[in-house]
Amino acid sequence: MLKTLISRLGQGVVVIFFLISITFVLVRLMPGDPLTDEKAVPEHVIEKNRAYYKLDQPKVVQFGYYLGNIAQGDLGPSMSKEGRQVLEIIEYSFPASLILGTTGMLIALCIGIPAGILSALRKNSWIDFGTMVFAMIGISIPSFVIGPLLASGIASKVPFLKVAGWGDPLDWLLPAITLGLATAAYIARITRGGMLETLNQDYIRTARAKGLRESTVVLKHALRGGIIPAIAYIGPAFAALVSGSFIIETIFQVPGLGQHFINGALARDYNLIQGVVILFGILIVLANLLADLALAAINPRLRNQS
Amino acid sequence: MSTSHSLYQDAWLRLRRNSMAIVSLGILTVIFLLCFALPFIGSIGTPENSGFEHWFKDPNHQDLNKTFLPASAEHWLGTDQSGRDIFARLLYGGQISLLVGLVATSFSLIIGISYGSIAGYVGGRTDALMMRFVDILYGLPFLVLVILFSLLISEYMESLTTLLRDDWGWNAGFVTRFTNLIPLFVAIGSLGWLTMARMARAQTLNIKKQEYVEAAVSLGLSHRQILTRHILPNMMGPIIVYATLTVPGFILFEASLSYLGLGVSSPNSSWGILLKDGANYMETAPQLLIIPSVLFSITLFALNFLGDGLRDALDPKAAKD
Repeated sequence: MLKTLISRLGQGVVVIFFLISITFVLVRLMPGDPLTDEKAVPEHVIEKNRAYYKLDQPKVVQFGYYLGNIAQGDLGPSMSKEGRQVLEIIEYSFPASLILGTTGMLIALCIGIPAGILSALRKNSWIDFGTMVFAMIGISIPSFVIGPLLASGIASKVPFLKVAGWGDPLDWLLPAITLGLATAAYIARITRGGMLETLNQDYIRTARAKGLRESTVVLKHALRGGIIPAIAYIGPAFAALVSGSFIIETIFQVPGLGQHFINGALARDYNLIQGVVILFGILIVLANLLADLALAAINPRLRNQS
Repeated sequence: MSTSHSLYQDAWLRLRRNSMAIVSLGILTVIFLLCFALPFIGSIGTPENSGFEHWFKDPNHQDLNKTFLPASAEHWLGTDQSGRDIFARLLYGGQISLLVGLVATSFSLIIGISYGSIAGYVGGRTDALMMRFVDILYGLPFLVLVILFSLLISEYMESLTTLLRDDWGWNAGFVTRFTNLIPLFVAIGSLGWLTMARMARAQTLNIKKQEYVEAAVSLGLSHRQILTRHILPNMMGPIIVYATLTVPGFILFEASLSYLGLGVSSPNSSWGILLKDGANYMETAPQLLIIPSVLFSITLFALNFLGDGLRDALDPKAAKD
């Protein structure tokens, strides 16, 4: 187990290294320059800045400096927001993105898993059909349509909900629902498929024949196997929710990382782009790792493999 | 040859029994014809003599005296905030959205199938190395990379535009429209092939062990012949199904990028841009948001249902229940 963990972490480091290299090359291939602006900046100022950000050095040297700084936990100064460190920007705005992603995931789980179990148990009934049509709607309607609809439909009628803003935990609710709905739909479909598979197994028949209560059979025996595909999906989905919530952040004016990333990309802020990409890369690696660990904990067959 | 023929005939029979999938197919056909045929008919000839000018207005024609008009015989779905005809904008935007879905899917099909089937067919260390590379790409933040990638390509598109327009004498409007789209196609397609490659590899590994491939080997067929004549045709079922399900994904993706202001840009428009514009006027003119979202959702709905139906038809073993 420990060996697997260490080798997986090693793999993760390789992935992150590749990610850093790819992004490093990609941003420098982009035409345009982080230091030139629409405003005319005097030549000597640009030269000074270029030296400050080490952009006057050869690319290989820049890469070496960058890797060295990362090893010390320093993501460098932002090139478009003067006087601010990339790490500072991330520390300041990432919590909102993380909270939004986590709440969205929780909502997706709370809706998706019960819906999936229910429609598997009542296969081909109207509950099943209704859930699956609802899931299809959740997958087909983009978040930037659901978001404004929820904002205007619910927030204007319920007094304690606001259309936009990020003050107290109640403000998390609408953006998180918007974010989590599509994921909830996927989880419902996956859970249904997994449950249908396990409900047909012999050991479920045995459990029923022993006279166990239906709730024990479903929740203790069938769910354990049936939830596996959903858990395998949750890891990557969580990372996608946290790193892909730009749109929701725009709709509901959440002060998250998304805006900074887009502005950084447009302003060619090399350090900011790289910092955000590395952060998301680490997040994806960790989420996949956690999902695998959870799978191994649930499914003994996976524990002794690899 | 006759066996593969009957496989698709079988699939068609199974698909025809699935009423949801057939209805979806019909709806998609109508939407396709509307988006691609009608603007074409409308643009034939000059407005004075074609007789079709009422069918399809110029989607970029602004008239600030006619903003937010309700639906009428003149403007079938009314006009938007700049007095443009919503119906025309809807079809014009649909062209882009559908094109993005189809072209990006074709890109990822071509890359994914070649990559995956070669990895699976060659096997051994090459396979391991190629799939590790896919694993690494899987670990990258997709949205973020597509944004970077499309920004990168779009900057180089300017030189392509001047080349085609000034040196080769292509139609300026067409060139701008066309070069505007390439970054998006390439960015989405070149990063969206990963799952396709994994599927193609798994299929190839499976088929490689079949007797008919052994027979082909003993008959002395070349690797290329075995791959193109035996392995590729036999793995198309699941691949087609997956491709159908990625089309709505890519359409949605383009819409999200356009919503963020990073997708297609003027003079192009897409459903994503219409939805974005509509959301801005949600309070004063909700039809601007409602009309495109209804059409958009119906299209995605139909594509998803068709994909599900195709899965049940082409791949009975993987059917949901």
